[in-house]
Amino acid sequence: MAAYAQDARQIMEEAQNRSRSKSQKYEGTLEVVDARSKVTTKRWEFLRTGSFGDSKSLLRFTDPAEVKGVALLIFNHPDKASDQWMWRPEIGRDQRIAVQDRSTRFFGTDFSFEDLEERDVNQFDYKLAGEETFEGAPCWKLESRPR
Amino acid sequence: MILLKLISWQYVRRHLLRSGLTLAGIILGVAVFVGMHTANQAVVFAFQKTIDSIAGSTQLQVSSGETGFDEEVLERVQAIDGVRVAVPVIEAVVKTGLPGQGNLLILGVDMLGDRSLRSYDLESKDDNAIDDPLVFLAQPDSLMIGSQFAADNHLALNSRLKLSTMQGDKQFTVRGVMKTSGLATAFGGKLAVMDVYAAQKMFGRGRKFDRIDLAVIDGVSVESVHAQLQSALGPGFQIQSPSSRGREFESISGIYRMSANISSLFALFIGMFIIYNTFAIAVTQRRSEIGILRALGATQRQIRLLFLSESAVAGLIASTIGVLVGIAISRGLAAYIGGLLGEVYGLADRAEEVSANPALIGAALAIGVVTSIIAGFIPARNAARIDPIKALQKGRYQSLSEGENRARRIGAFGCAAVAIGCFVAGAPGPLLYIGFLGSLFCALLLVPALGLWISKALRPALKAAFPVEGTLAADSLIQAPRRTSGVVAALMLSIALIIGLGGVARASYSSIVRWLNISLNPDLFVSATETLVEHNYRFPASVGDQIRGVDGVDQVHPVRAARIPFRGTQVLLIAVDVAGMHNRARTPAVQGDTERMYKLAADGGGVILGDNLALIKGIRVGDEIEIPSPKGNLKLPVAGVVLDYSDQQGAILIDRSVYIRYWNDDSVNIFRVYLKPGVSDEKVRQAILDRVGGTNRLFIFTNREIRAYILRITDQWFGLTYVQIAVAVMIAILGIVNTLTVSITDRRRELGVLQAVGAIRWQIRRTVWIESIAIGLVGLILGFGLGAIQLYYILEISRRDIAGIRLDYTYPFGVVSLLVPLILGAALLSALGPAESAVRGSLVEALEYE
Repeated sequence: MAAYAQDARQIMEEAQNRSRSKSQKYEGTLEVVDARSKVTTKRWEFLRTGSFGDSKSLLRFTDPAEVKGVALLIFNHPDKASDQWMWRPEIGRDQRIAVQDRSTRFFGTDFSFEDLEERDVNQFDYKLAGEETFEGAPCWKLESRPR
Repeated sequence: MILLKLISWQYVRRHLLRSGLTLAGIILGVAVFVGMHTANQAVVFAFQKTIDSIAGSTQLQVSSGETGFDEEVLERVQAIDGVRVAVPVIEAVVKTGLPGQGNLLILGVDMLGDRSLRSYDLESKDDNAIDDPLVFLAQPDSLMIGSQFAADNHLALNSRLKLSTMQGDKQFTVRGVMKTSGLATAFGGKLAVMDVYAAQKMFGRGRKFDRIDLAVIDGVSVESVHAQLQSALGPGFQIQSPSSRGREFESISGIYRMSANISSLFALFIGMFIIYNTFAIAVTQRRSEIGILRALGATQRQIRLLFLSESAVAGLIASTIGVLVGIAISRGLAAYIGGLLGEVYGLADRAEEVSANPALIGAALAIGVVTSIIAGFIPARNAARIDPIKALQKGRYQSLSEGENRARRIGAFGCAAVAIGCFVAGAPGPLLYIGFLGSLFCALLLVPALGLWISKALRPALKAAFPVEGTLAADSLIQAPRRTSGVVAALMLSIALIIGLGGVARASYSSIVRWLNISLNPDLFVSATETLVEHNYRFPASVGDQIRGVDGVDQVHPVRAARIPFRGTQVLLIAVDVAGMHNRARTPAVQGDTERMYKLAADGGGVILGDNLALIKGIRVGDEIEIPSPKGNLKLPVAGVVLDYSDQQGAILIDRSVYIRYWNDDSVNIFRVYLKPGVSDEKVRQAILDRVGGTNRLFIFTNREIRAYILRITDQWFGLTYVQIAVAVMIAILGIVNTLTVSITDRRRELGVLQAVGAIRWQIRRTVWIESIAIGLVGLILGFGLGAIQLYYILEISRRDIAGIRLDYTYPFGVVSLLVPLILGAALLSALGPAESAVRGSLVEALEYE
């Protein structure tokens, strides 16, 4: 990796290559800090199947109880914007997330729905912003700007 | 100005009571005008404010009448070039059960995209529960409310609030509180926001939206997006700006504005005759004063201007008082009109802000002054023409000109000829109105002559009943017909108006009852709303199967009703199982063959129209009409026309299968339930409630209750008519009091002479009473006659140009029997004061009078 250390774009390409897989599953924790520094935590599990650029992903909240079961299904397409639907167990129905709404905040976080789509390296310009250690592991800090 | 101060003011000071009574007609007319218009404006303003507050930055709204439309339409709208954001909306008015709060407007929106259009302006947006859209979306019981509503009802974040939904009463949780501005001020602040998909489920919308609100990309013309939308969606969708919705409401409430105009115009018209009467007598009384002024060099023009100025000042004072009274009563009227619109159209809103429009006040003042000037014109002209020498000769003023009677009669016969000509010609187009005015002016011109004839006819009867007093009273009327002609005209107009309005009310009642007997004959009505006029709540079709399974139920007929736009107005589309309905409710065709009509409609090959819609739109049996639906125009021939009072704007009846096919909607507003013979409706009602009521919001009405409900709405509708009648009665009574007060003052010398030659006070009193009752009787006879003619015209105008409802001509004898004792009693009461005044005065002063 040291060979790529000075090239932010190559770091991103390598990261994308290494994450290529037929399927993926992980569990995540979402912490939202509001203006009064109050922290709310939600947990989710993420499932992905299919190859990069043409995959299907499912993000399902698992905790706390009041949001458990709410899920976001994403069909990524290589040539156009993804299709996204939300499932809401309490009313037993799905809801399509319109393209026009993708830039809205993802459930009160600083992310948007758009951020959950798979992205191609060529869609962004990258800059190496520095190196840091996170949880004991050395990391590169990259700045990515959409073209 | 000097003459006004020196001459007119002194006269008014001496006759304060009479002057006040004279102004009463104008006061009443202006008060009704200002009160009703201010109330109407307040109701429209409240509705418009709600629309504006909810609209936010919405530029266009897509809707499809009250039927709603499928969710897929949203994607079609979002795909249109130039649309920046398009979000679905559901609106539902629900009962809160909170003391004194009444209804709450639920605005169902898509919480993801909606903030691009509306600012929720959260009270404490840093709070977890508020700023957590995931929880808000995940929990369908989430609500956002305004801070004022929260404070009024001691609600805070995470408070629970019970609301009536299609699944029965449900507890909701407050998960956001908005500041009291913008959106939170809509519907008088009684607004709650929830997720649109949760609202669909809670309020029985299925997978449909009521409306789509959208904004266009900056720089793109709204008109071009409008055109694209209309072309993409077809004629079944209305694309309009939020302000257009307000105009639609304004046109509905315009019926009340028209009613207000009619009331106030009649009040002013009748008031004009009272003023005319008073001024005419004042001119006679002030002949010597006018003679002195003329002898001192005053010109005819100055005298005419003096009297016209008096009229104008009187009109200004009366109008000012009328404006104040009108503003005072407008709040109550606004509450009444708002309530009525909620009952009749399901359009409920609260008129919180009632304020008079300066332009309206200006118009009211102008109307009052102009009316008064018109009323004073002839007396002013007569005053100016007075010969100063004759005016200064005592006693000569009693002689009255008979020459003008010929001109009046010629004019009257001319008007009668016009009215008869219009009637014979069938009164097409404007001829109806010309005939109406012709008959009215004919009656007005004939008042002095007819009044004289009736007085002469009454004389023998009065003489037989009361030899001295009856003769004196009759002679007084016969000798001075001009003294009473103004009040008799006012009385006649008032009574004719009462007969006309009472006749329309009676005819409407009998027609509605007949329609109820034939068409509304199910034993039970299972409705999704308790008002029956709100069509957004509906059952899934499966509820019908549950009702069918209840013991004692014979047949269940589902009905889906919703207003849709049709040829520029909102009409009621009623989808029923036509074959099933025809088996049980045999409403005959008023146009077309009944059997063929039902067969064609049941096969989906035709529609049945309510006769009011057919009349107003000029549609005949066999004509093909285009009904806009979400799938394009539905073209069907008119199979027949039936009497129908379901909706004032008119109704189109189609078979349910056609509706389901074109609107993709099998939901139901009302189930018409027929029971097996001998089964108790109360028992079946309870059984249906037990079976279906647990999982559905429903209201079950028996046939008796539905009839009572419809007649109550009819009563409320005619409430304004009763106000008009009350105004007419009040003016009639005012007219009598005024005339008698004037008459007694005018005849003080004559009455003094009677006392001087030996008449006792009791006889004088009775003479005044009998004269008053005789005036009332003359007014009644003429009013009943004119009323008979006016009723014909009012029914025709109502049928042809207003409601399109065919009403039978039925003379309201019930109203007549009430009016006779009312007017004669009022006449007697009116006479008590003037009679006492006639006998209490000094005999010497009376003989010296004038």
